[in-house]
Amino acid sequence: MIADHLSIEKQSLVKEEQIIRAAQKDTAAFKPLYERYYKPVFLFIFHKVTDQATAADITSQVFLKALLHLPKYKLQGVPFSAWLYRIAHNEVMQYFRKNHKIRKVMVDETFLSEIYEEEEPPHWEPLKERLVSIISQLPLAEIHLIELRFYERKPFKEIAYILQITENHAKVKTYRLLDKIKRLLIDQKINS
Amino acid sequence: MKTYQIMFEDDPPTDMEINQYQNFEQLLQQHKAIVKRRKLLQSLALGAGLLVVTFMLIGILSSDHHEKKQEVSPEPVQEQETMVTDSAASGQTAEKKDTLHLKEPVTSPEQSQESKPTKPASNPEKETSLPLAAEKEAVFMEARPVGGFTALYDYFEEKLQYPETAKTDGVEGAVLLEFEIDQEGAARQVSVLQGVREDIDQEAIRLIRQMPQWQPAQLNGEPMTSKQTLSLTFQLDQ
Repeated sequence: MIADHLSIEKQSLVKEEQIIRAAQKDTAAFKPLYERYYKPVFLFIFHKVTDQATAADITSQVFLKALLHLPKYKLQGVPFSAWLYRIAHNEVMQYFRKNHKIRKVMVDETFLSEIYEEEEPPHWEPLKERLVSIISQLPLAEIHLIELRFYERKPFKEIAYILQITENHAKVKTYRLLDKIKRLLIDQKINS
Repeated sequence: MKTYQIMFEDDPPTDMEINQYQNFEQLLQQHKAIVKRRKLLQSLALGAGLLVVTFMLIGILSSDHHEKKQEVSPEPVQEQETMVTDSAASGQTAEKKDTLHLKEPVTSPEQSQESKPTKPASNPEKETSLPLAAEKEAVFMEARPVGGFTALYDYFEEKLQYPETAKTDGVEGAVLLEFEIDQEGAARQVSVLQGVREDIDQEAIRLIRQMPQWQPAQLNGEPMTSKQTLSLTFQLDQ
């Protein structure tokens, strides 16, 4: 099963590469990639901004920038989608810098199982409130890691590419962050 | 500053809702329009840049002569003096402004300066009415980078260090800079007329400060300080 899955992945990458090459010469050939990635990129942005119309505006900016820079695009060992996410990440940053709106941060239960690793994780519901107060205090760079790793479920290689840091740095920072949050959760429990 | 709204679930749009925002044709049209505008702007920017430099030089030259004149004779009206006419103001190319003619004005310097940008076409008539004996000619050479502008742009291209912070934030834009080229051909008094943001502006200033020497502007073979403006475009390679 795993082998099958891998070969399908590889095939789709090869095909994607052909589409990219064609689109570099003729932008109309970009259409299959636009259709394939519009939804994931839209949702990636929607999970950070508050409404659909804003998400749609930013998404169209992302694809416009992608088309404008496509002639210079080179395959860099990460899927083409990572490049789109990287543009999307930058566009979202720019949006919040200009608009001073409140940024949404999506967190789900996987986050908890990552924090507690092999231990039995405590009940999710009572922890929510405490997690909110902890995450609200985190710097933006750490928020990006939480979102990309535990909500978008991206591999470290892609996270590193999107955030323009090294893969090792992304890993180390994420694990330190999990430790930090776990410590804070325990501290809060003791205090309460 | 750190205002997040932590959410454990949101109300994601349905596939149909997302699909209604998709519009590939519109994207292609926007792309086409931008590519077209960029090409046009590139050609206009060079022309406009040179025009700005020309106006500044004329400003410097006429103020120089104005000062000299005031030292010699305090009575302003109907005195013999030299001034720069705007032979290049109507032209937009570098070639046209290599030489500027100095000649006698009929009016006071203040009046001449006012009429200068608006009435370049009337100059030939004035010229013919002037006494030949009083006519002087000054040869002005525009400052230029050693090796020409192509070499200068190659230098910018090679030495540009895109600020990491700006790269991460995906910030692009053009910085309009003003600086003087002194008699030695070095850049000084570098300032930003129109910036993008701090890190990009600083990099632009650094590039200008460290750029190779220029051939200074010359008036009658004498090197002189001149003002220049230049636009540097920061664009990310994606």
